[in-house]
Amino acid sequence: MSTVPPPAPPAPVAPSADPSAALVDRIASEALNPSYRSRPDRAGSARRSPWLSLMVVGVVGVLVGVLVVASRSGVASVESERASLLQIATERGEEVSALQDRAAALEADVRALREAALGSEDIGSQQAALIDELGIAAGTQPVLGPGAVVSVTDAEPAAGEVDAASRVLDIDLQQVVNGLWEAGAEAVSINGQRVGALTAIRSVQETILVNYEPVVGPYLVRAVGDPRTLPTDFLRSSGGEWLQAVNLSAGLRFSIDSSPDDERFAGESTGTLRYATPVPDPGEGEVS
Amino acid sequence: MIPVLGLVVGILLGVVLDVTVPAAFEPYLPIALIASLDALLGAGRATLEGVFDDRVFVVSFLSNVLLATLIVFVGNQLGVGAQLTTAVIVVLGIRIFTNAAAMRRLLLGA
Amino acid sequence: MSTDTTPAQARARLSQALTSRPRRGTALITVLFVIVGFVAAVQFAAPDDVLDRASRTDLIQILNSLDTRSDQLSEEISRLEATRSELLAGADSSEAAQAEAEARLETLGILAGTVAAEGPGVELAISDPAGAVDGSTMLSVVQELRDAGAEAIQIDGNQRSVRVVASSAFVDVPSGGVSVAGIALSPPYSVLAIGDPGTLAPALRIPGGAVSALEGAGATVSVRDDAIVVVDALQETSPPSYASPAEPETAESDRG
Repeated sequence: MSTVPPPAPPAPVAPSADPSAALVDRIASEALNPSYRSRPDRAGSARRSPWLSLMVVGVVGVLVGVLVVASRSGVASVESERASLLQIATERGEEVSALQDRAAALEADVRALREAALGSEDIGSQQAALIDELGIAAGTQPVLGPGAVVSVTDAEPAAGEVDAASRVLDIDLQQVVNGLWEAGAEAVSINGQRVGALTAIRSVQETILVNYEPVVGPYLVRAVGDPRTLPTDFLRSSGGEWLQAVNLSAGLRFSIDSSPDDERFAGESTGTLRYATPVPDPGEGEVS
Repeated sequence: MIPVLGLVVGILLGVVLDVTVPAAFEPYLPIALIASLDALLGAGRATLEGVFDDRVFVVSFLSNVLLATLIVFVGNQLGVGAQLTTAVIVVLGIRIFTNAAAMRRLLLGA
Repeated sequence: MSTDTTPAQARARLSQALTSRPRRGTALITVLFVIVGFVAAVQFAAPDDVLDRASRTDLIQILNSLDTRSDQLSEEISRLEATRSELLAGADSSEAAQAEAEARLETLGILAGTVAAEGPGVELAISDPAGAVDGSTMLSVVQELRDAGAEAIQIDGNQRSVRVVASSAFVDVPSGGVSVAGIALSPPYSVLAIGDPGTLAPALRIPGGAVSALEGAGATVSVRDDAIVVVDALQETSPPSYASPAEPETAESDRG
């Protein structure tokens, strides 16, 4: 059996004094396990002892068995409870989605009926316009418009390490939304959830809830505004400063892009106030 | 041929079976996968060069995967997990790239 | 054996390897390939479901949250259905439409800050002699109030009051104080919120909540339940320049 010297590395480089280049060369030159070449036994290993193969199969089998067993028992009871919770939560999430769609459709119907009924008179159409304007400000009225979109994602995790600080939290999204308002946005949404007058952004460990619904990264925060100035105004706002700070400290990644085409923003269905009532106008002699 | 079919079967199984990976193992799957990819490409190149040997393949596969996983595991215990992972990935990456390039040259002559 | 394999030879070996009959070592190799395929598929499996990473306790909280949401939406749907029936029934006269429009204007006015509101709620008195309360602290106070169901919020500073609405931005004032919706407020502050006092007050007081955030910044806080809280600071609205009302869509596909 003749020994053949290892072949020249694929990208021949003049041997240099640079140790890192030498290291790369060395790794590359042994890329093909040398054992392949030094055992020209191409017909197979029929002559080797079957014990070795059996032993290897045994080891692999044990490993797989450990995996399967660990994956089932012991962890099983907690896992199965979690699994059924997951199931219920997913189903509930779909129900909520369907309810939202229904509410949005009804809202659109009511608006159309209202406009039709009011539209003929001056006062009526003024009222309809005011309802739209207030609805946009409160976040209940769906809108179309250009603007910008801020994308925020968790920091790159190092393999094997799960770091809470490297995740996007509710405060981060709150600050982004705040910055967009500061920069003059007229409507804001997070992953499709409109940020309205009653909208809360809250974290539950790894999940962020907006309007009581879970959203997951990458987080796309859209805003309606002037597509030419909104991105820069945002970067200069307190929200932009916050993102740059957490990017440096925790590695959170973000980007902002102008959105020149109209994007649709869903409305946040809110109709019934349970505790707040209008203050009666003292100037009115008679409540109609 | 049969091993390739086995690969396909494995992929199908992974997609179809809803397996919950125990959290303890999960961070090491990517590195184990890259290590096995290195062994697979080495086997591919050896086949094209006509020097494939099943025993060498099996040994290199298992030792690659176990070694890489062990290194990352120990690194995590010592707090240098990220750095050692990077080192392992760099080495495996160079080997993968080298073998793939060699296979390309063998098949296409350029 | 050399590395001077010609491409033809290489391809020949490749096709030979692919079509060769199984040998003794093939079984083990196949097992390994299956494992690799399996692990690869698991790793690259379906994209993360929103809830995949949540733990058991988290899921319970998320479920509660979704339940709240579900109730809210169901209520809203009932209200909308009733309104729609009314409008359809009264199609001939504009009276029903008028009444509905006025009711809607009131509700939206409270939400948008153009209408003064009153109702049960809480009042937070914040004294901040050092001027250490900053924009983000005040923002988190408001977020907690909203999460606990506050329907109308107002912040009083030393001399001015500001109605807090969806678009209110909270910015630090370097010389001390906080700017809310563009208006600079200086301490001491008073935050008025209308909602269920039984939910608002405890929510503010939970460890790590708004009160501890304020106290952590060096302020003294007191929370008081009130049967009637009056939120009469007003926020003006103006017709938007870029946003326009959108017509209904056939499918709401943009939910994350």
